[in-house]
Amino acid sequence: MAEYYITQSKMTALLKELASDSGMEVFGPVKKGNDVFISKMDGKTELCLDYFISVNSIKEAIFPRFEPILKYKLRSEGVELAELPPIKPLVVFGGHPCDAASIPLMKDLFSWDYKDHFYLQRLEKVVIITLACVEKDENCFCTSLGGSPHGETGSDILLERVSKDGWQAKIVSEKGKKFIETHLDFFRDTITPEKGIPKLQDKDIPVMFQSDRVKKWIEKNFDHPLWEEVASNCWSCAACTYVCPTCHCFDITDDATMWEGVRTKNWDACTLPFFTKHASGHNPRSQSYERYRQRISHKYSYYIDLFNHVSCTGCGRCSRVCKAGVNILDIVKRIDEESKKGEK
Amino acid sequence: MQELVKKAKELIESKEVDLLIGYQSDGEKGAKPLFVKNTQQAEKLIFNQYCLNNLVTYLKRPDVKALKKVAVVAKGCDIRSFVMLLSENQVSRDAIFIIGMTCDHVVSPDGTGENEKCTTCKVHNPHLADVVLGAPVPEKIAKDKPVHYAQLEKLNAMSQEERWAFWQEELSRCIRCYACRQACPLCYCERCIVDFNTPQWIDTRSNPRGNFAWNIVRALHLAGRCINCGECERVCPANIPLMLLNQSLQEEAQEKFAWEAGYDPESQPPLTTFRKEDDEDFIR
Amino acid sequence: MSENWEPKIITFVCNWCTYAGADLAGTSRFKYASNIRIIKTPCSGRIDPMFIVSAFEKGADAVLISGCHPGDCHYNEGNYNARRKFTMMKRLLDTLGVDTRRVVFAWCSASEGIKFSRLVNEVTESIKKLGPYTDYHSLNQEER
Repeated sequence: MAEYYITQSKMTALLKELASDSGMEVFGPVKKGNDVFISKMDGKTELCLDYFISVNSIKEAIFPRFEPILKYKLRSEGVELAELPPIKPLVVFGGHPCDAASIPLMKDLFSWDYKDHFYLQRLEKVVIITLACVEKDENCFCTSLGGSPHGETGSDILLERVSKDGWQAKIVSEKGKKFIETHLDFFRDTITPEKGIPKLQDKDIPVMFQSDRVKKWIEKNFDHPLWEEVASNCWSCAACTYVCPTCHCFDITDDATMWEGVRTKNWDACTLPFFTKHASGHNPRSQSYERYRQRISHKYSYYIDLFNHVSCTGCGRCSRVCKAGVNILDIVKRIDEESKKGEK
Repeated sequence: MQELVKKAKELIESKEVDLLIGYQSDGEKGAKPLFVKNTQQAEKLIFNQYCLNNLVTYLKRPDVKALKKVAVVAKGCDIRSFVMLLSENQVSRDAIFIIGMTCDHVVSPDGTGENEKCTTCKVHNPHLADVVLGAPVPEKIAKDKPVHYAQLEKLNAMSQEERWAFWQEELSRCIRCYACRQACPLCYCERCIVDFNTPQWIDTRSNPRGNFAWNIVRALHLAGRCINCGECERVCPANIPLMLLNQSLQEEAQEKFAWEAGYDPESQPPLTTFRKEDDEDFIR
Repeated sequence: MSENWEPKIITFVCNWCTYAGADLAGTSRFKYASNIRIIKTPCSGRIDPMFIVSAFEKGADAVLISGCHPGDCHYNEGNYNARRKFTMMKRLLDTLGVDTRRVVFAWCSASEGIKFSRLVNEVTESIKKLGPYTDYHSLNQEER
C-alpha cells in the first residue's frame, strides 16, 4: 500500500479550503487564551497545530450542543411541517485516539432502542482525522480501558508525527481512503522521518486499574460512604459531562410562538441539580455526590450491562476542567483498591 | 500549617462543628477542596498560595445548610462573599465557624505569578472571622480608596461595535455548563431563572441568543453583590472573561452608589435600597 | 433596509403615570408615531431588565421605558428602586456592546400628554435613523 504524508501547512490549507465550502462543516483546533478548542471553522479561522489536548472533545461536531429535530408552522388549514436543515458532510480534525474511541460507543447508544438518525446520518458523513499522541499528562489513562496513544478505533485517518513539520497518514477506514484519494494533492509530499520526534508508546501510560474489578465493586456498593468522601466537593455543574467524548444525555425543548415552533435536541447532564427533579418536587439524586456517583456508575457499570463496554475512553478531560478538584482517575483507582481489598 | 490542623482537630474532636471545609494539596502546585469529618482527614489540611477555591460557595448547598455547624477555611476575599450571604440572610452567623487565613496573594489561575484579583485586595487580613490564623500581612490599599480594574480599560476604550463583536466571539464558546453559576458563592437561588420554563425567559440552547441572555442575567443578578473572587471566570471551561462583566458593574456601583460589596454585613446592598438624589442623567 | 420599514418600539410604562399620560395624549388628540407597542405594568419597579432582553430577542428595534417622576410613585418608592436597577442594566448592556441608544428611559406623568407624544416622536425619529436592530436579531439561530 502506498504511503501518504502531509505537512502542517498543507493540512492547514486543506482544512481552510474545505471550510470555505458552504456545503461542508469543518472542525479543527483553535486557540483561546492558553487552551485549544475543537471549533467549527470557516475559511478565515486561524488553526493551532501545537497543542497537547483540546479542552472539549470532538463530540460536539457529530452530536451538536443543540439541533432542531422538528419545525412547524400553524396555518389556517392546519399544521405545516417545515423542512429541517440538511445534514452536511463533515470533517473533524484534531482529536486524539481517546476522542475517536468514543465513536463506536456513541454509535451503540444512538442505534440502540431508537435509531437516532440525526446522529447516525452525521456519523455516515463524517471523516475523522485523528492525531496520534506525542504528549501525555497525569490525567491520561486510555490504556487502562483498552485504548492506546496511537489507537485507531473510531478514526478514519490516523496521523502519526514523523517530523516537526508533518505527519504520516494512516488510512483506517474506507471513508478515510476515499478522503485521501479525493485530496491526493495535499498528501503527495514525502517526508523523511526525523530523529528525535517524540512518540508515545502504550507503556508510557501505565495501566492503573482493572475496569471489571471496578464494575464489581460498583454493583455492590451503591450506598458505600466512599462516594460521599470522594465526590462531596463536586458543585454540580456540567463542565465534566460537556467536555466528555462519551457523555450523551440530551433534553428536548420547545421554542414556540403562536404561529410557529421548533423542537430542539439539547445537551443535558446528569450532574446538574435539576436533571432528576420530579414535578412533585422530589429529587431522587438531591445531593451532588449522588449525581457524581451516577456519572461514574453509568460509565463503569450500567453501560457495560447494555453494550459490553466501559463508557469512558480515559481522555481525562473531565478532571482537567474540574476546578472543584473531582478527579475521575483518582476515584476509579480508589474504587479498584477497595474492590481488591474485598477480593482478599 | 500546624496551626490550622490543630484548630481543625480541636473543632472536630469537641464536636463544635459537624463538618469542616478546607483545602488539601492537589499535586505539587495545586490545591483542592477537602471535606473534613474526622481528625484523620484533618491531617491533610493545608493552606498556601495555590488555595484558589472560594469555599464559601459550599455553604449554599442544601446538605451543608442542613448541618448544625460548619467550619470554613477562608481568605479575606472569600469572607467578603460570606458577608454578602449574611447581609442577604442566607446563612446564620452562629451556624458557621470562619477560620480566617491571612493571605498575601494567591497564584493566577494558570499557576504563573500573582493573581490579578490580589492587586486590588483590601482584606489580606480577614475582616470577619471566628479565628484568624497566619502572620499579619500589611494592607496595600486604603479601605476607602476606589478600586480600579486594569482589565476593564481595554474594553471601555473599544467602540460599541467592537464590544459587540468581542462578546459575540467570546460567548460563542459558552456551552451552558453553568460552572460559573455553580461555583459562585452568591448564586444561591434554589431554582435559577434559566431553569424556569413557564415562561422561559432564557433560551436553554447554547446558541447566540441563549448565551447572550444567560450571561446578561448572570452578571445582572450579581450587580452590587459580586465581590470579585473571580471563581466564575476561573472555572469556565471555555475561558470566557466573565469577570469583565462583573467588574464593570462593580465599577458602576462604586461610581454611582459609592458601594463595595462584602465589607460590612450591616450595610444594605445597593439594589435593595436607594437615595432620592441618585444620579439619573440617563433618564429623559 | 427596505424603504417602507418602520421601527418596532416596545414601550413599558407604569399604570399610574405614564399610561395615564399616554391616555391624555390620546384624549387631547396629540399625534404621535404609531411605532410604539405599549405594555402596561403596575409600576416601573415591575419592569424587569429581562423585559428589555426579551423585547430585542422577539424583534424590537428599540425599547422605551417610562414611569412616574421621582417622588410621584403610586407605591412611594417603586421608581427609585427601578432607577438603580436601570442604572446597572444600562451599564451592563453598554459593556456588552448593545446599542444603548435603543434603550430609552424617561419619566412621564399623567399630566404630561404632550411630553409623551413628543418623546415617542423623538425616539421613533432617532430609531428610524439608526435602522433595524439587525445585530441583535441575528442572534436568533436555530441551528449551529
